[in-house]
This record gives sequence, C-alpha cells and structure tokens, in this order.
Amino acid sequence: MSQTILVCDDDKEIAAAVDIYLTAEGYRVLQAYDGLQALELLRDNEDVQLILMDVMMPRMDGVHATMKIRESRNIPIIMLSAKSEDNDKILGLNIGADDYITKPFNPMELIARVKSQLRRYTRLGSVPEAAGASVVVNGGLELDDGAKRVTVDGNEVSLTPVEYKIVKFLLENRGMVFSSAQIYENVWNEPSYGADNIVAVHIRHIREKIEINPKEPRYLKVIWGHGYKMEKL
Amino acid sequence: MKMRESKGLKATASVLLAVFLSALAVGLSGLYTLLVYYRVMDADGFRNSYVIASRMSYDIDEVVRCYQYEVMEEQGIPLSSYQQRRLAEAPSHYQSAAGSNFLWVIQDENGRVLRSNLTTETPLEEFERGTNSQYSETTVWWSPREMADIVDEFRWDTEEDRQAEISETSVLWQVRYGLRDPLTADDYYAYEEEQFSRADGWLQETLIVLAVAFVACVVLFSYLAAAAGHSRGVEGIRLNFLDYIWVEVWILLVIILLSIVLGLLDPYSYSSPFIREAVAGTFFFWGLAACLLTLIRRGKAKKMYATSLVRLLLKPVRSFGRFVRRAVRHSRAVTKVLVAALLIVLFELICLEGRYSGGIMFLWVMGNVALVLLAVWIAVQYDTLRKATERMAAGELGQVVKEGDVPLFKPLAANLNHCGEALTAAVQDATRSERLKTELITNVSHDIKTPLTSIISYVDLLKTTDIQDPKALEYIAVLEKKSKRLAQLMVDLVEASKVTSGNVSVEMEPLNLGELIKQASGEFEARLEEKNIALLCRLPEEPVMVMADGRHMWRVLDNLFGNTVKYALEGTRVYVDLTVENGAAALVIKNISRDPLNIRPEELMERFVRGDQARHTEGSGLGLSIARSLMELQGGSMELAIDGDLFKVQLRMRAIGG
Repeated sequence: MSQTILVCDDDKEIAAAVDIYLTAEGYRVLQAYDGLQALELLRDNEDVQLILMDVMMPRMDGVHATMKIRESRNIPIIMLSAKSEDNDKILGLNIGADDYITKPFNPMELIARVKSQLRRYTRLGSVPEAAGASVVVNGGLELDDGAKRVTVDGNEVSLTPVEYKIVKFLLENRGMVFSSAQIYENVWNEPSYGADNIVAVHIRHIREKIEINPKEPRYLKVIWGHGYKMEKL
Repeated sequence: MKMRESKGLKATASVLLAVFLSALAVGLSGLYTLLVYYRVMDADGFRNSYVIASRMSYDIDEVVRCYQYEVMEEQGIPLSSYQQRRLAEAPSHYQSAAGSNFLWVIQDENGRVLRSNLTTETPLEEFERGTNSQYSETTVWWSPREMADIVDEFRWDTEEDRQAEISETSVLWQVRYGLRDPLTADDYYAYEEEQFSRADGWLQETLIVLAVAFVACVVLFSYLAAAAGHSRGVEGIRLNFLDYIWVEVWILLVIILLSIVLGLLDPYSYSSPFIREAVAGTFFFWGLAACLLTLIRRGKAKKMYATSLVRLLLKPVRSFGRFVRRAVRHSRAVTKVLVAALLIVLFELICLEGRYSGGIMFLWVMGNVALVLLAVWIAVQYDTLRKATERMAAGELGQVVKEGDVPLFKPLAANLNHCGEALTAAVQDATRSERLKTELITNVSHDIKTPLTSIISYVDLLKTTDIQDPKALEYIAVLEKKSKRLAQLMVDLVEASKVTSGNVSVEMEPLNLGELIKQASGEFEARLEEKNIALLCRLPEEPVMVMADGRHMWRVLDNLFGNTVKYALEGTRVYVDLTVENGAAALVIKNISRDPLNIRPEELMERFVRGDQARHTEGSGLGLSIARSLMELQGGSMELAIDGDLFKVQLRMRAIGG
C-alpha cells in the first residue's frame, strides 16, 4: 500500500524534485503550488498522510495554510523553507508543524525525516509493540533491554556495548543533563580523571547513528559547557 | 458639604458679616465712649473736665481776638480782610450772654472793665465773688502795633525801632471767663452736660448690641472660613483676585487701619468720639476679616509663601544661593580662579600700602569683589562646558549642555549641542544602515537559496541518471561540491552579518569551559584523525566557570577547530591550553599552518580574508570574523598571533568564582 504525500511549493522545479525523490521511495505524491491549492487538494484527497509545506508562497503562505489544516486534520506537516532564522523555526513549530527543514536540503535527510514522521503517525493509536517492562520508549527511539536492542523509527541501530550503556543511562534519566565526568562514572563505574574526551567521542558516534542530522539532534542533545541530555519526547 | 459651596449663601453671609462687624464696631465704639471718655471727664467733675476746659479756652481765645480787632479799629489801625471777617463772624456770646452759658470779662491791669458779656442778671460782682463755682483767669499781654505787623511788616528801619514801639504800645489785659450755673441757656455746654448725665443709662443697651454682634460675627466668620476657597463643581481650593495681592500688603493694611483706630481713641479729644471711632472701627474689622479669610484660603491652597512679597524679595538671594552651589559643584575650576584673583588682590593691597582714604578703599574693595564674582561666574560656565565636552567624549551624545546655563558661551554651547545631535543622528544612521544591511543580506540569501535548492537537488538527481562518460561524472562532482559550498557561504554570510551588527540574542549563563573543550574536541576527533592531526588538550583539574552563551561559545570553538582541520599541516599536533590567571580564563589554540602565513593577524580577522590567497580550500573567510564578534558580544576577546608557521589563537574571558 503506497502512502500519499502532498508537496506544496511555489517553485515548481523544487516540487518536482521532491516528487522524484519521494516517488523513488514508493510514495504517491500530489503537487500544489500555493496554500489555497494545497487546501483544495487535501479536501479532495482524504488519504493524504503527510504534507511538505513551503512557507513563502503566493495567495496563501505556508503558515496560514498550516493553521487552516490544523483546524481539522492532525496529519504530519513538515515545513520546508529557505528561512533559516531561529524565529522562523519556532513560529513554524508553534503553529502546528511537526518538523522544519531548511533549504537547500539534503535529499537523504528529507526522506529520513518524512519516513520518521510517517512511522510515528501511522503507529499512532496502535498498540505499543512489546509493552514489556524492559522496553523504554522515547518518541521514535526505543530501547529493549531484554534484547539489548535500540530502534529509531522502527529501524534497528547497531551500537557498541559502551554506546548502548550510555544511551540506556541517558534514556533512563531523560530530561536530565549529565557532564562527561558523570556519564563516565556511571557507565564505566570508575572515577574520571583528566582532560579525557572519550565520552564526547562516544556521544558523537551515537548521534551519528540515531540522529537524522547529527548537527541538529532530536534525541541526544549537547548542552554546551554543561554536558549532554536525552530530550524527553 | 453641598451647603458650603453655595455661591448665594456665601455672598449673603459675607454681606451679613459686614453688617454685623459694623455693628460690632459701633458697639465697641459706644462702649469705649461710655467707659473711657465720660469716665475720664467724670474724674474732675463735668465743668473741670478736659473737654469743657478745652472748649472754654477755645471760646475765650475767640473773644479776646475779636476785642483786640475792635481796639485796633478804634486806634485807626487798618484790619486785614481776614481780621475783618473774624470780627464780623464773632460768636453770639461776644455781644451778649443772653443765649449762651459762656460768661467772660476783660479788665485792664487796674481792674477796670474794658469789655464783658455780662448782663444785669449776672453782674460783675457776682462773677468776682465766685458764686459761679468754676471760672478761669488768664492774662493777655499784647500790642496792637504788633498785630498790625501782619498787614505791613516793613514799617520800621531797624528791629530795635520796632521792638521799642511794640513795648511802648503794649497793654496787659486780665481775662476771666466761666460757665453759668446752672446751665440755663441751650448751647453746646448744656448738650454735653445732658449727654454726660445720660451716659450710664446707655451701657446696658450697648452691651446687648455688642453681645449679639459678637456671636453673629463668630458664627458667620466660622462658616466663611470653612467655606473659603470651595466652590460648587470645582475640585480643590480656588483663589480669587484678592488672594493674589501680596500677604504683606494685607497685613500692612490691617496695621494701618488698627493704628488709625488707636489714634482716634484719645480720651482727651475735644468732642464725644463715638461716630469717628465707629466708622474707623468698621473699616478695621472689615479689613481684618478680609485679611483673615484670604490667609485661610492661601493656607488651604498651600500658597501662603507663593503669594508673598518675601518670596519675590528673596529671589535674588535664592539665585545667589544657586550660584554658590554651582560654584561648589565646579569647585576645581573655581578654586583656581579664586586663588589667582586673591593673589592679584593681595598684590594690589601691598602696592596701595593703605595710601588712600576710606572712601576710595571702599570703592576699590567693591570693585574687586565684583571682579572676583565675575571671574567665578566665567569659571563656572567654562567648567560646565568642559564637563559637557567630557561627557561627549565619553559617548554621551545629543544635547550635552543647556544653553541657558552658559550665557557667556551661548554660541559655543549651541555648536556643541549641534555636534552632539549630529553625532547622535550619525550613530543612529550607522546602526540603522547596519541593520538594513543585515536585513538585505538575509532577504538576498533567502532569494538565492531557493534556486540553489533546485540546483543542489537536480545535481543530486543527475547522479542517479545513467551517465557513463567519466568527464560528465567529474563535472557533476564539481557542480555538487561547489553548489554545497555556495550554500554554506550563504549561511556564514547571514551569520557574520547578524553577529557583527549585534543582531543576535545572547543568553549569558555560568558554564564550564573545560567541559565545553572536551565536548568540542569529541566532536572533531574523527575529522582530525582523518588528517592525522593529534589534539593535545591541557585542562586544569577543577572546572573553569565563565559567564557565556553556550551556543555561541560552541560556534566559536566550532570555527576555530574547523579552521585547524582545514588549514593545519597534516601529521602535526594541535595544542589546546586552558588556564586561569588573575580571574581571567585564557584558552590558547596553537597549530602549524600548512601554507605559509604571509599576512598580518589583524587582516585575518577581516571578513572574506583567508590565509591562502589562492582560495583553494572550502572556507568562506568568515569564520574568524564571526568568532571574534561572538567573543566580543559575550564580553570576551579573541587575539591572533602568527610566528612563522605557528598559528596561535587566544580567547580571554572573565572567570567566575570556583
């Protein structure tokens, strides 16, 4: 069963390029070139499961279109904009967008984010898998301590034993910030000495494995000058 | 308090108060007349009282004068018109005592009667016998010639001649006068005697009038005092035109009226005092009431001092006080001028050696005082200007000095203010143009990013097509690399513009610089290893806490480590040293440059300048500029040093406790 994605961008070439990428991944793609057209297409096609929405468009911009859609639908909306200011991102996420990708985008990242949003959306409401006590769920990130397995949006991630221990420790203490030394002491069970950057190196590796874009992590965040924390989702 | 504010009620009360005050004055005047005037007369008996004695003395003067004129006429001495008129208008008792109680007789020195108004009923003998219990005697020594002098005073050649003639013609008269007993005729004396006998009977009535008038006045005045200043529909106290007359004028008016009244209260006056005192007293009470009411209004409005003459008179004193205070504020300049002026005065004093008199010395002292004051005045204004320029130099622009403060240097102050305003405008312009530049760059970058997205996407799609030609594949690789670099350049450009214009938010918080370095080195570990560059971090054992914005600090280290990855010679070591000295945290990063650095460190931090002139590498030339601006935004600094191939960056921040 192919899922339907609505791509809305006033630049027809960009819409077409996104269309090609998504079609190649097996999705059915609808194209709209402004907010009003997107609303019409959405009304005619009940089965749309995700929207990629540009912000700056004629007739009706992405912000207004998103607000309109949110009045009746809760399907994932990913903002796709050349505006890269923090304020623009915050505004987009506040009015109901689920994610925000800046142009020019990396095609691989775009697809990864689309997949992530779709998995979360389609799984929403269904029975959580393997509801055992040993499973820790945080957004799309799942850790099954029984099987020593970590999955992101359902995809298994292969971690080394140390990396696994770090993820487990941080997942169990979601939302709390730990310095490198604290993480070392808790994971290695021995006191930390000196200017060792071993924890930082491991964290970097973990981010490369579990994050779509390691520079803009969603799960394992770097609190500069303080330490690291697992975002509570 | 509705009743208080009624205008009609107040006007009625005012009129009633005026009437009752008048009644009070009449009553008091009456009481005074009864208690003081008649009592004084009473002391020696009616006939011996001062009033009656004065009146008799006045009457006898007239009689004597008239008879003198008659004698002069008999001797053929011409009378002046005044004297003729006086004689013609002689009182009735001069001719006869018939209608009068006043009796008199003029005798010569031998007792011969010259002239009298005595009739057969009251013969001279009886008068001499003293059956009329009271009579007075007086003597008149006069010369008809002397009295004629008034008409023609230059009839003698010498003063001696005149004196001789006067003494030759002088005569001595004996004058006796008195009142009939009893006072049978109906004249002034009889009237006064009747008033006197009735005075005690008036006392009760007077006291009643007084009591009523007093109570009425107290009630009415209390009401008016309470209502003073209030009027219907007006909040607060309203003053009328009377209240803008100086307080002192009112007080003076009351004092003058009071002194008039007191002046009139003379127990030895010629006639019964009642009417004049009553009128004067009425005016006094009116003035007093008006004065008290205006004072009450001013008191309520708290404008007593504001409407006084004293305030006006103290104005020069106050401005002198301000002048002194200003002089104290500018004491340094004023002291210099004062010392110089005093030295000059001292020098002058030595030169003068007290050679001149008091008057000239006084002028000299006054002149010097004026000169010193003038010098202080100029010094104060000069110092005000100097301080204004200091403030300007310290960056406080706009209107730096009030032109009214420096009347002497008004054009200078005006120019200074214009400069300040122009500079303010220039600074604002510069800030605004910097902001506009940032906006422009942001908008342009947005417009460039949209087509760039298509380019990057389609280059990527091109790779997925079935192209075999190795040249085409190579070209595609170049396209991909350069389009991605262009995207990075746009991001850096926007950031550099925002950071240098201060258009970014800074959230300062305590953070551990050591932890940050560990984190950053962890991030770069893989990329440095790739280039075979060893990273040697030397950090203190204890945390190094600084106030900074974590994201910005990371961006700084990201740029610096990024530069190291890009420009350090492969196979060398990078040294990262963190130290704390004298409360300042210093982070030094040293590496060996791959390319020769024939450029000054300052230039390296300029935008778009890169170590490699050929620009082969992927940098945008903005990294160091952004890093330095971010450091400055966080209150720190960044310095570069180049020694041959050794490239050294030093970051400095203030460390906080612990």
